[in-house]
Order: sequence, then structure tokens, then C-alpha cells
Amino acid sequence: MSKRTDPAPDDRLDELESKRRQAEQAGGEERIAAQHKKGKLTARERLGILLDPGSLNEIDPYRAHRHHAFGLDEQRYPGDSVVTGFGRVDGRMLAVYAQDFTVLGGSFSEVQGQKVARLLDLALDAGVPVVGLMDSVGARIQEGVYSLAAFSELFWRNTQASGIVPQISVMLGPCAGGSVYSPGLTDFVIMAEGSNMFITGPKVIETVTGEKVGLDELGGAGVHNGISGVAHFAAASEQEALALTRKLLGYLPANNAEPPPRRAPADDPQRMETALNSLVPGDPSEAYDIRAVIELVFDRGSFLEVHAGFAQNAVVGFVRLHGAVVGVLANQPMVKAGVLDIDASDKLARFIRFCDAFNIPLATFVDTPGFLPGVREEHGGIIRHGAKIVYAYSEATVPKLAVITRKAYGGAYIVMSSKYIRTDLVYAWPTAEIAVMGAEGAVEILYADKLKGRPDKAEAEKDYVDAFRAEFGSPYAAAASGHVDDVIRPEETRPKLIAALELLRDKRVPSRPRKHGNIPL
Amino acid sequence: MTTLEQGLFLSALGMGLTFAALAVVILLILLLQGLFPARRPVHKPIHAPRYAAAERERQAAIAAAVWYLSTQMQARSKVDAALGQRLESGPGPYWQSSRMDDA
Amino acid sequence: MKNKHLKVFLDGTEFDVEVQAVDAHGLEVSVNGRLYKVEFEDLDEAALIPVIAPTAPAGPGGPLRAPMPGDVTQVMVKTGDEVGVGQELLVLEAMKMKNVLRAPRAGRVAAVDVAAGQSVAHGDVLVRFEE
Repeated sequence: MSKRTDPAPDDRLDELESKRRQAEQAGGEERIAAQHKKGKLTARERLGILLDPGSLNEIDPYRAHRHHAFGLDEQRYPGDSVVTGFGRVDGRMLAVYAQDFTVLGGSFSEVQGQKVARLLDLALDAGVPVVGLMDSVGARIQEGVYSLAAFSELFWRNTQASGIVPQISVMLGPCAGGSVYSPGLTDFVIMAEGSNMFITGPKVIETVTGEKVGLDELGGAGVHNGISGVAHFAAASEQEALALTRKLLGYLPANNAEPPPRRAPADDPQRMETALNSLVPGDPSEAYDIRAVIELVFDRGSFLEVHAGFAQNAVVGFVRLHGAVVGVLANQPMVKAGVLDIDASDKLARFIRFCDAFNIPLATFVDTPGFLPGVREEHGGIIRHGAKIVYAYSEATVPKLAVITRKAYGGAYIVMSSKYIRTDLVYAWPTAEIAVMGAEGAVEILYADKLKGRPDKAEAEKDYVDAFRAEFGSPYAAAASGHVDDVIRPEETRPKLIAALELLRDKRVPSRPRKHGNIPL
Repeated sequence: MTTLEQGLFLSALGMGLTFAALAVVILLILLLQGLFPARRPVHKPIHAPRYAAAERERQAAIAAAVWYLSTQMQARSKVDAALGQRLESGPGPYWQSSRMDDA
Repeated sequence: MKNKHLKVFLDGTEFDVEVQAVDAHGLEVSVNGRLYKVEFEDLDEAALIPVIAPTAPAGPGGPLRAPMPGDVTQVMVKTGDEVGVGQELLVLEAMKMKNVLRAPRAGRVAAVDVAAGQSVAHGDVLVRFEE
């Protein structure tokens, strides 16, 4: 009888250590060096920057694919093309996954799909946010339909988790083809300089439509932040993108059953900013930067603008008011006169719905002359898109506050968080002009008969306009009929909003059961 | 006594007398200083008429500023002292119970 | 605040202060019977209007196009000028407001296709940049 020589416990531990080393080496030293040469970091390096030191708990590091076709059996790596796990950011737990470009180009495979789906299931059960670091050539063609199935599992889970836990996608490399739908489904997309996203690449586009376009021009960070609106943040480097992710997470609750994280208030709640009193120019044709209002009213330095490069005629972002997180939305008079158009409507509506899903109160600053006129907008469906804003505000049950700083005309006034779509408290500055339309337009219609064929038409028109403006170009007519809750001095805005937010801290609104509404899309 | 002893005795006596006299003089000085203390040199302020008027105006402006600020501070004391307190803790049971409603 | 009457003691001297009129910038006071006009300048005010760098919409190359139909009222640059990101290029009057259009990126102006007083439609090319 031969004696079995079982490996001693020490040998077993050594074996584990060597397997760990191998898993950490991922695609091997050469490929890691190649990644660095391109100015990019590896998946684990990125996670090291994103998470609090030492907090990463990796799961499924030894999971490997089972395919043989096209030489895949020679290219079997532990963990495959993604690193998944959970860790902490500023002490708060979250689930993370980072595509590993050193393993077969980070290609989306069956195993990657399984690992990420497993992670999302865990995150949904645990109620923690999910952050995905993307850097992948796309589907692993060698695995065929298996990789497609993997994608779908991910997208289904992105959807199941939507509105329950915050999901953030950080683009740190290419992302092409079907896989872009995962970031497309998540709540926020951060793009680092050099990353890109598109469904069909330049080569195929050239074959089909003949258009010649480069990678960056087609789907780079600039394009998605400025034109398509797919990305919400742009970062100059990977480190900046990861730092931005940490900052963003600081405003968000871990799940939809929690209020957003509070900070100890460091700014005086009674602060009356006299600068606000003179911010709105006396000349109604002069613009001002609404972001200056936001910076002055809310806790100093707390403004994180979201979607800053897209539809700049509207401004959205997170702020803190006495330490409590608030979602702020505003028209930007400095860009396109602050009109509402298709892109601005989409930007506002999506942000409102995110905040409503995650218990973040809303504060809206209104200064808009209306929707952008033109055949282009009408044929583009401004009706459908503008309706999104009304829908989002009307459906939202978080505390809603509004401050009308200057113009609030017609339909745009109604959609921008007016009293009757159940905004809890609406304040107006003395410079507010709440009217069906601007004075000039109204006079042209109302006094058309009286002005027809008069020799002194210009003079008379001016008199009518002045009279109209005197009566309606102020908040008092609106206040008299209950359209606004109070007219306040601009410098009082901060204490007024704090008191309002305090009142509504525990706001709850009963809801009627329905599967879900049918928001115009 | 020996000659040496005599000499030493005389020296001691002489020195003692000298120092005693010095002490008397010092005491005399201190006594006189106490009786007649030194007076500070007299400053004659320049009271030109124009200067006086400007000075009064300046003081009046200060007085007005002090008044203004004091009313501001009084106004401040009428503000909401508890502003912001409710936000320092999270939502209460009224909100939390609604979490159960959204099944 | 008007007619508020106070005694103010300054270095031992008593002043009788009474306010006659107050407005946003200052007040009229009588101090010991003499009337003075006092103006205040809030030094904090000027410093604290936050200057936020204009973020021009990030985008790839291409000319500056009219974001909405309107009238060009002022042109601040000419061919050959070097401009920085966010620099003011021209003023477009639209929706009854003066819209300042800014450079989407740094570069040299290759051509200015419009002049003051011209009407433009949505999408019309206004300023072209050297690639």
C-alpha cells in the first residue's frame, strides 16, 4: 500500500499565492506594458485609484472560458477579460467591474457577461451602486452567439437595476457595437479623453454611406458631451475620470430606499448675498450667467454640473443646501437666450427623473422666453420632447421648489416647475415677468385692430408695450392670482429655500398603482 | 591693637561713613522725587478751525455707520434662529413609512 | 428704519443720530442737528460674483453656426484673429435678447461670413476656423 503524499498545508497556501499572482498578471507583462505605452492604465490599477485603499474584494478571479474555436483554448486566462468585485468609496460600499484590455482586448465574452451579471445580481440584492470601467474592443467574435447572450444578460440587469441602485459607466477606452447599450442604459456616463463610443465604426460607415470620419470625430468624448448628449461628464485623463466618479458618488444614495448622503453644513444658512440683488441686468435683452446664481445661493463650492457641454441653454447638476443634496435645474439666459429646445428638454427631463427615483429634492430657476421657434424644431418633434419636461415634473414626488428670476412666458413657464404641476413652493424675484408671452408679441396680437394703418404706429405700439409691461411684466399679477407663493428679495433666496426644504423634508405623496406611465419618448 | 588692626579699623570706618552719606543723598533724592513728581511735557493740539470741522464730520460718519450696523444686527436677531436644523438629520418616520407603500 | 433715533457714544463724545431717509445705497442722517449724506459700498459684493469660465460646447471641428435664427448686431473678430476657447466672437440678437456667441475652441479665424446688420437662419455658418 503506497502512502499518499498529500501536499502539506504550506504547499497549498503557496499554490493559492501563485494562482493569485497569475490572476493579477491578467494578460501578462507584455500586454500590461503595451497598455501603459498607450498611456492607459490596467483594470486593477484603475480600481486601485477609484476605491479606498485596500478595500477591493475581488470575486470570480479564477473564472475562465470554456471555448475552443479559433485557438481560444490556448488563450485561457483566469478571470477572463473583466475584474469584478466590491469595495468602498469614502467608506461607502459599492460594486465595481473593470474591463481588462490586456486579456483579449477586454472583449465581451460569455464569461465576462456571467461575471458582470453575477455582480449586478449581488449589487441589486445588497442595494449598492454599480460602477463599470469600460475599455473593450467589443464582442469576442470567436465565441459567436455566446457573447451576444452575455450582452443581453447585462442589459437586462442594467434595466432591472435602473432606478433602484445608481449605475455609473466610466469610459476609459474604446466601446463599440452592441456593448455601448450598457453605458447607454446607465444613469451617468463619464468619458475620459481618448475614449470613444459608437454602434458602427468608421470603416463600416465608409462602406455603407461613403462618409469618411475618424474615431474621435465619430464618437469621442467631445462628441458625446457636446453633440449627442450620451455622455454626462468629460475628463481630461483617466485619473480625473476616476476622481470625478468618486465625487459624483458623494451626492448619491446607495439605493432608492435611502435619502442622499448628508454632509455637516459648513456654510451659514442665513447668508444673504447682496450680489444677487443686482445680478439680473436692468435691460431685459442683456444676459447673465445663471450658474452665478446657483453658486451664490447654494452651499459654497458644492455645485457639480452635470451634462455641462450638452444643451447649454439649460443647466442641471447637484448642489448641497445646508448639507442636504438637491438637484438643481435652470435656464441659462447666456446661451440661446435660455430658450427650451429639443436637446434641453431631454436633458432636463432625464435629470428630473433620476432625482425623483433617488429621493433627491429638486430646485428650479426659471428665466426662459419660451420654446425655440422654427420649422427645424417643430419637425424635430419639440412637442414630444417638451412634453417630457412636464411629464417628469408632474410625476416627481420629491420636494420641488422653484425660483422665477426673470422671464417666464407661456408654455415654457408652465413646464418649468410651475405651481400647477404641483411644485411645492414657487418664489419669484421682483424682476420676474410672468406672462403668456412677451410684451411686444402680446401687443401685436391684442391691439392688431387698434394699430392697423395708423401713422404713429411705432409710437402707439411702444405705449401699449410699456403699459403691458407695467401691468404684466412683474410678479405681482401672478402673485395676486396665486401663481407664485411669494415675491422675495434675491438676497433672501438662500434662507427661503432652506426653510422650504426643511418643511418638505418628510414629504410623501400617495401614488395610484399602475405598471408605469407612458412618457413621450 | 597692632598698627595693622588700627589701619583696617580706620579704613572700614571711613568707607562706612562714605556709603552712609551716599545712602542719605539717595534717600534725599527719592524723597524730593516723591514730593515733586516729573510732569509730562504739554502737547498743544493744533486746533485749526478747518481741521476741527473735518474731524467732526468724520466722527458723525462713524456714528451713522455704527447706527446702521446696529440696526442691521437688531434686524438679524429677528431671523429664524433654527434655520436649517431639520435638514441636519434625515427624513423621519413619516417619509420612511411611505417606503413600504411603493411595493 | 426711518426716524430711528439713537445716541452713539464715540470716544466719550455723545452724538445724537436720527435717520431721515434710507435707500439701497445709503442714508441721510442728522447727527447733532447737522444733516449728512452717507453712502455705503459693499466691498464683498464686487468680489463675490463668481466668475465661471464659459464652457463652450465641446465638439469636433467645424465652423461656428447660428444656434437660432436672428440678426447679427455686432462682430468682434476678423479674418486672421487668434481666438481662445470661449472668446466672444459676435452678438446675435434673437428672442429679443443679445446672445453672445463664443468660440468653441482655440484657433485662428479663417473667415467671417456675416456682417453686422445681417439676418441669419438656424445653422447658417457664421465664423470659419483654420483647421
